[in-house]
Amino acid sequence: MALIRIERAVKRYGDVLALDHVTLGVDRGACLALVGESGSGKTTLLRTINRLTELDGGHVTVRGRAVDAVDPVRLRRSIGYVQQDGGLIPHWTCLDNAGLVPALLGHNDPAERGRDALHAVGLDPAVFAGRYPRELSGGQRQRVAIARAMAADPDILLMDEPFGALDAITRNEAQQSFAALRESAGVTAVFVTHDLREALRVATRVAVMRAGEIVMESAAGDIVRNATGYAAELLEKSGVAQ
Amino acid sequence: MTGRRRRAGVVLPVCAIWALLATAGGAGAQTAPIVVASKPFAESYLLAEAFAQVLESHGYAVDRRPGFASTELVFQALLRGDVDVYPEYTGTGLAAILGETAAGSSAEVFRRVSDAFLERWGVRWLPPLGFENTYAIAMRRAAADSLNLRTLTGLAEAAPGLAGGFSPDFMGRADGLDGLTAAYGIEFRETRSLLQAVKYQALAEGAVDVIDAYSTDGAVSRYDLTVLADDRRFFPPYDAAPLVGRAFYDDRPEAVLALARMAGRIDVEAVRRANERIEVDGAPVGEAAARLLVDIGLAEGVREDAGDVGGVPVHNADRSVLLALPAYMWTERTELARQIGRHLLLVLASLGAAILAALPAGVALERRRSIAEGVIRAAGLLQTIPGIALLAFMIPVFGIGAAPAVVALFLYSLLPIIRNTYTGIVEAAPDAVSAGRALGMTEVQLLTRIRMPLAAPVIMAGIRTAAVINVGTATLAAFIGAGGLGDPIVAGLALSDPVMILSGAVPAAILAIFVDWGLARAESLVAPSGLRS
Repeated sequence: MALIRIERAVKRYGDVLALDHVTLGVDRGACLALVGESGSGKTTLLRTINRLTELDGGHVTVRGRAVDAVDPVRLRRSIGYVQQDGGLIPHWTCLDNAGLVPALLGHNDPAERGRDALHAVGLDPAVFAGRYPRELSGGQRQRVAIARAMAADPDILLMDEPFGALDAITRNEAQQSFAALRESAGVTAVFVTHDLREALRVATRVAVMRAGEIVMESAAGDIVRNATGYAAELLEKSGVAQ
Repeated sequence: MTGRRRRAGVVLPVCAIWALLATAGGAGAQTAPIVVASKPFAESYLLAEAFAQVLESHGYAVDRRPGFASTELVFQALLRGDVDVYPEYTGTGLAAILGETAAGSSAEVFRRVSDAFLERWGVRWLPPLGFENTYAIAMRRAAADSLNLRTLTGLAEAAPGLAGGFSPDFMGRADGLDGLTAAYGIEFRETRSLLQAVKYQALAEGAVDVIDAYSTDGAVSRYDLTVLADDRRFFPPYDAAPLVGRAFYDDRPEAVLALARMAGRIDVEAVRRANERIEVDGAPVGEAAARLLVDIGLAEGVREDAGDVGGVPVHNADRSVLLALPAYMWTERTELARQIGRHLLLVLASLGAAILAALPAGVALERRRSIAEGVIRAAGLLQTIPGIALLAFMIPVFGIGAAPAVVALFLYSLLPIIRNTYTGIVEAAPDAVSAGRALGMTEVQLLTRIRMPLAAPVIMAGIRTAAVINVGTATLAAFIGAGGLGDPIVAGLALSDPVMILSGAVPAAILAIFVDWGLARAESLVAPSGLRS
């Protein structure tokens, strides 16, 4: 059974139908990329999983339980989250940022977990623990954000354009180290990107969205063979299909 | 943030204000001192002081509240019972308070105001003191001679080439500039509002050509002026008399009788001499009043301890102001210290209440952004009300003294604190807030651990702005009897004494600079360390 299950999800913003009866499942251990252009509804869909978006229709279940039956604060603490700009708390050190969720959960060793998490994303705690976000490069900040999302060992990780703000070289490194980290941690991940190449590099499955609908979903390896219509167009645009 | 906490943010300052109100009006009615007030010019100070000394010589305790900004303010305070008695002029009562233009003889006007005031408000005019102080429209003698002007009718022809300078009170009232220009068809090239303290100076230097003088203030002869005759009898008679509040009249008949015995005793020569003692010789108001009472046989000799206004002697403008100031401030150091303390109390009470109200309001608005703009605009509207007007609005509700001043200063402080709190919270690292929320921080945690620490310097800047505005605006509170550093400023303006004005203005300015500096330090101290470079 799927770890995350979205059924006939509907979300309206005024007259705009941001999600149009979307159905999707994510199996345990998978890494799903939601791909699409701006306004296609991919971020809205991602945020239904930890109830940052409340649905107007349909259901989302996580670990077999309907999310609207769970306290949203508890739900969010059990799911890692990374956003494009990192969203680090500017007046907290890297260690305080990394240890946020363990501290919120009342773990007795948030600093220890924060250190482990920094180490896991390749930042030496001895160097970085006491630094403030403004003292880091963009790539380092994004690593701290990933460390913060992973520090409490969640089984699910949500990411919204996590590498979007990085320059090309930093992005490549970040993608590779993230893919390795995800595999070793065994975390189930859903991430949003507008970059099909990135999706293919990092994800095990890809869902292509357009105007609030999933127009195609496939294993990452089969996408070139399976793509038709809009998905094929996207592939061509991003230079993946030859 | 819970509803309970939000309510506490409103309740606390209200409690603070009520506490102040209670202390302001707490004394028992029978033992309460008699409150004697005046308007902000030398003769009004003089007569009020004379009333006070007469009452004291009969064994009554007196609370002096001189220098109310205008007729409207002091009359309102009288109606409320906050003031028991003040010197008024029958013509002012007729034109400025009753809004009537029909004049007549002195006796007719006195009868008219006596009947009307008693019937409408239960307020009584005691019999006139015995002299009239009318407006005298005056020019430099040389200028009047060169234009061959002797009457106001003549002035109407020459006015398009002349500039007028008039006291604010005169410009605003029915028996003042508007009525006068309408009655004679006078149109000046320009008119300016000039305080008593600078009016004669401006005329002497030629900055203006025509002013409103008082017939009893001695300036007409001192500055060699020509008074233009009121040939169409526009001005009503202005007989000076004590105006007495209802409760005072009913409850303290003996004290009222003591004042009534002054009737007809002060002639125009006696009052002119007393005015000159104050304005030309620089005598303290208390001493001039005491001499006046001796002159008219109401006191035996000049008391050395004559309770003068604010305990300060008057300086005249001829002396070098800057040289005289340090010595004067040293002599008055006890009084100044008291005024500074009082000033700080006004500022701190109002600022504290404003922080308690505006900080939670600014935080709450972040959750209701749709109405935030409207609320901030409303607070901004409060700030556009001129200080003295806002203070005047407070009198019908809160009376005179500290309470209305604190409420007015409180209202002034709201905008900078609400606006900065709201802006600071909204603009505090929105990406960190959204990430924190996505990771399971509660709204309270987002507020206390991210937003407030980041907004703290911005909020502190708002408090700093409010504090500096308050230190300045609190000087106006003296106009409604609240005390503070405005006292010497108001008295100095009324008595044309620049040294006295500066003895209040300089400490107020230093206080403002000091408060600004101190809160600027606080602003950098509350900035989270991670943000400092």
